[in-house]
Amino acid sequence: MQWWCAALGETWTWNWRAYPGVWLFVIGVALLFRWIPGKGSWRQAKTGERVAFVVGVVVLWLSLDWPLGPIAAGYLASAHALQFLLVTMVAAPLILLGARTGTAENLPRRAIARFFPSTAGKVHTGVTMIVHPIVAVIIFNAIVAATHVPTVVDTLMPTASGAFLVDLGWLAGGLIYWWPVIMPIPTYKVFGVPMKIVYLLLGTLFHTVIGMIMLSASTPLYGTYELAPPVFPIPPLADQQLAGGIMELGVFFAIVIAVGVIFFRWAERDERGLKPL
Amino acid sequence: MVSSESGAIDIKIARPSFTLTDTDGKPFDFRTRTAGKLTFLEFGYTNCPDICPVHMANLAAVLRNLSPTERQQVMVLFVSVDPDRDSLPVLRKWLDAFDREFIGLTGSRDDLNAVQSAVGFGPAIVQAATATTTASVTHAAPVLVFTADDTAHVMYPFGTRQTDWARDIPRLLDRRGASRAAGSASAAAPTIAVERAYIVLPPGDAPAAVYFVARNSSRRPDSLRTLAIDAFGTASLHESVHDHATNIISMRAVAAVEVPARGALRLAPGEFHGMLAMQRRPARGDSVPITLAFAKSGTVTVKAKVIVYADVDTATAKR
Repeated sequence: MQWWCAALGETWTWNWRAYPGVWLFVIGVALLFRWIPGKGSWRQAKTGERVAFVVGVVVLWLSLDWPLGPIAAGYLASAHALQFLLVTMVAAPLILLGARTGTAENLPRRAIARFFPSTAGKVHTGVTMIVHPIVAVIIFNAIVAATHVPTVVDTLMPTASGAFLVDLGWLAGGLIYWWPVIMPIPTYKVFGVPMKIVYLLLGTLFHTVIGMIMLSASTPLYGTYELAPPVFPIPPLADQQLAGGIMELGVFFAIVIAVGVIFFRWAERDERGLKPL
Repeated sequence: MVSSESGAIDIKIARPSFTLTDTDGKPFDFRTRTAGKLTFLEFGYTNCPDICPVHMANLAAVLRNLSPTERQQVMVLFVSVDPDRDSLPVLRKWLDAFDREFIGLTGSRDDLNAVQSAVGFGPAIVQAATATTTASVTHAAPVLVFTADDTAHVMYPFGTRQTDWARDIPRLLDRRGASRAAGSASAAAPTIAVERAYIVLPPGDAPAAVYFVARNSSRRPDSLRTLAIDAFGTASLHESVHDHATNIISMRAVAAVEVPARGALRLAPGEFHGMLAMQRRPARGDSVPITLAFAKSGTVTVKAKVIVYADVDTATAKR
């Protein structure tokens, strides 16, 4: 039994396989994002936030576990792109949405101080620094770029620990990227709605470049998928182009939806004479 | 140079003469029909779940990018080693999914074995399906490439990528380029010493296995391409593969095995080994000459002592 989905080069079968590492990881993420907002936050959260949290955790689980997980790890670049999209653009923001209520009160000092009393201030400073919009967008783009370099993919995906590192990087990157937009803390005076829209668009910079490279390359970029035993009758180059299309269109739609939500909520609050979120 | 950049293996095999049946049901004289053309020759079967469709798909993709003039100089032939399941229409339909220009050939098992031997490959091993297992075919995976000088100077193992084919095909189309590749392969010849060779004879008619240690004293790595036991039958290189999920140990043919620089290649039970399909079985205690062909060092002939399973512990302990 493997603990995480990896590219083993084995012939694909539709026989179910267990990946206990995925289950533990998803449970761990769910527990972490219930712990951050603290006790009672679930009851205080709005229904929409609770639904978002559950859907986010389920999407994370479905994107990492069988069958999408192993197909994405070692058979189809398009499945790999879909998994990337689901983890970074669907699961990460939904989990953060579900953990909004209570985070402002619990995260800054008290929750960290419980475990790291002597370093609470430093840890808090570190967390605050990472989710600063400028730092966050750089980190996210760096993770996106690094995890799509062919040598990196072909080196990491054949091992469970390497594939885990890629998936962990994506989730961490997605959470860091969406944090400044969704989470109530830290707050920045200049990070209003227009800046949030600019920020979200800046986050798609490397997606767009990578998607374009995948769409325009004349040969497959990733040996992992080029030499994989076929799952569906789709040639490796067409699979890569499909992956590029998913990167381009999928991320575009995710950002358009996010920008739309931010814009309409801002307009609604403005109409009611409330302060923007 | 072709081989060092792409991972292809240097060889030197003259374009063989054989006649098999094409997918129209007509005799196909390989040497005559492919003479002077850049010819890709692969042995496989249409139910192959991995190597064959990957090779075919990648070759087809690269050939689509050639100019019409270049494309006319290239032929791809796929020889099915599973004639029981690969009927001519099945073979044609499978190849058409990649490229309608690809030529499919097949024949009787004896004819197919003879063709594989003619190019230095061991015969494919076809195991029929049973109540508990599916049919399996073990076959040589590399694609042989014959250039315009009617010689194969390189063969491409599984793992060759489209970028490798795309870079190499224009060079292979140039006969002088292919010759340079072969010349460069023999220019530096590391010293290979083979020792502790022994053949284990199983009971009955099952294939025997040969094991040995090949030491490379040079600073450059080499690779073991083929082995031959001409007086007794055919030989091919295999690797034992342990599927930890199912706990099943199976064997797969390998194109070549690396002999590291200033290191040793050990063929041992449960690892790499030579599989011997013997038409004539030697007796316990005999010494059988085995010829090993290395990519850079040429051929080395060594005598292997024949033992049976009961001797294995003693034999390996003494060695």
